[in-house]
Amino acid sequence: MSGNEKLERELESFLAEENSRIAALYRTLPRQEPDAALDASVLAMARNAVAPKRSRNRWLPALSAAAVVLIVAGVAYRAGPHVWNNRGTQTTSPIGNAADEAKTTVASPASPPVAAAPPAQEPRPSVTADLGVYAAKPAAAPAKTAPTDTLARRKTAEAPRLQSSAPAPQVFAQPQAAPVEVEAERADKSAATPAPPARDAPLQSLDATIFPSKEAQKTEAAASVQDDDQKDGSRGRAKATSGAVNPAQSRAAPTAMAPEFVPAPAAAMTAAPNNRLYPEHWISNIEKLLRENRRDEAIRNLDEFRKQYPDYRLPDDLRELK
Amino acid sequence: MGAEKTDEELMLAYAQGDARAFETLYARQRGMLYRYVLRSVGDRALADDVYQETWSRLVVSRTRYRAESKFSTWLLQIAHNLIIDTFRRAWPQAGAEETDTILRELDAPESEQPERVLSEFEQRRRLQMVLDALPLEQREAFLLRIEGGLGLEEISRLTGVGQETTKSRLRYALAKIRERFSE
Repeated sequence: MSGNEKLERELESFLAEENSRIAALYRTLPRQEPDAALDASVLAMARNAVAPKRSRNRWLPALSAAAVVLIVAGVAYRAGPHVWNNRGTQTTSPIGNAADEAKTTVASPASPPVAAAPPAQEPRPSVTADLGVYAAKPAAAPAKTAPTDTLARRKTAEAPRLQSSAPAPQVFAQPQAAPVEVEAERADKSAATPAPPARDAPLQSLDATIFPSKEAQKTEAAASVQDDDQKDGSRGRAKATSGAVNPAQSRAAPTAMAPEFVPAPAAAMTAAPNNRLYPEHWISNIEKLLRENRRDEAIRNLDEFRKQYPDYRLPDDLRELK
Repeated sequence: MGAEKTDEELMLAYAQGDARAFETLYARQRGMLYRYVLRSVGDRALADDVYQETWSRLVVSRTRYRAESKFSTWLLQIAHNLIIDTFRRAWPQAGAEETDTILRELDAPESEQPERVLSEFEQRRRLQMVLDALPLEQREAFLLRIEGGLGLEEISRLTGVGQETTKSRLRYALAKIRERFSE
């Protein structure tokens, strides 16, 4: 048998795995296998490839929701006191506001001690409307409190906004007399030197003055009844009024109203507010007084008007009025 | 029971997400595949890399498996491709002429000592040496037959050559082994 024939037989038996000596010899070789770490690595990879990924998706929405809740809570916490105070001021009664403000004032170390909690004074919207021309300077009185704590400072800053709904409590020693004096002085000044119309007055105050409400008209009418002995001008009356303020009452009510809420003397109410108006508006008011048969008041206003605007061309009906 | 299923059924089950099926399949094939890879590349660290990469590619392409072919053939095909890539990166492929030269050089010393009786240990050592010395394509054909249990047709399809070429490679490999152990 040639070598080639032997090789062919060996190949045949090797392929058929029958009596193959080489195959038998190969089986005696060590049977190496992968180590345990390699097995574990392959199995872990295979398991991860088919493992459901729900666990990763499960906590993501929960985490997102928690983050949103935290953000909302943080924003509410930071903006909360300011928003809540505003809401409380707008919705609670003036009594509640006054008590709240009084607490704030007492809490402020810079404020003088308050003897007793002041009874809440009713706002007088008609007077306020008549004196609305002064609303441009409402922050002067609250600013004097000089609060040191943040909350008090915030309340003070909000006072101008709140004055139309409730009287701002004051802690001044003589809170009621001072505004009247200021007002009388203004009337004096306006009589001496024509002051420019208060163009910076809030529009709503202007409207209230031009178109006074029924309550305002009533107040005006009441003031005109007492008009006869007020011919001395507004100053004397203002002084008298300020002198007439009961000191005991002033002490008992230290949280006096802001100047806008202080009842002014009738003379000051009739002429002084009007001299802050545009001439046309003042003329309209005078005509209105005439229509309401308040001739004396109209004449007095007209005299004031002539002093303040000597060159103004009056309407024919008013030109004849003496 | 998973153990009673064929390799192909287990692979299909794994492709559907059954991790237990893969464990069974892996237990069946791990030794065969590892020895084929190790004896093909001749280096344990390299064999570990190729072995792990073979399974990794199987996992990635699990949904593309079709039961028309034997699972072991598909697995060995992946390993074979990786081995070829590894060798191509390591050194250029030896030509057929170079392979014949190496075979002649290896044949000469042993053919001069036909009567030598070798111990069993020596026989295993020599077989290991001659397998390592075989050209890659001959060694692969030999290992695919004896380790993978593939026939001529499967080896030819897997390696991408004709059956006569496969037969020739096997013939060369057997001739070298026989001559190293001279009868």
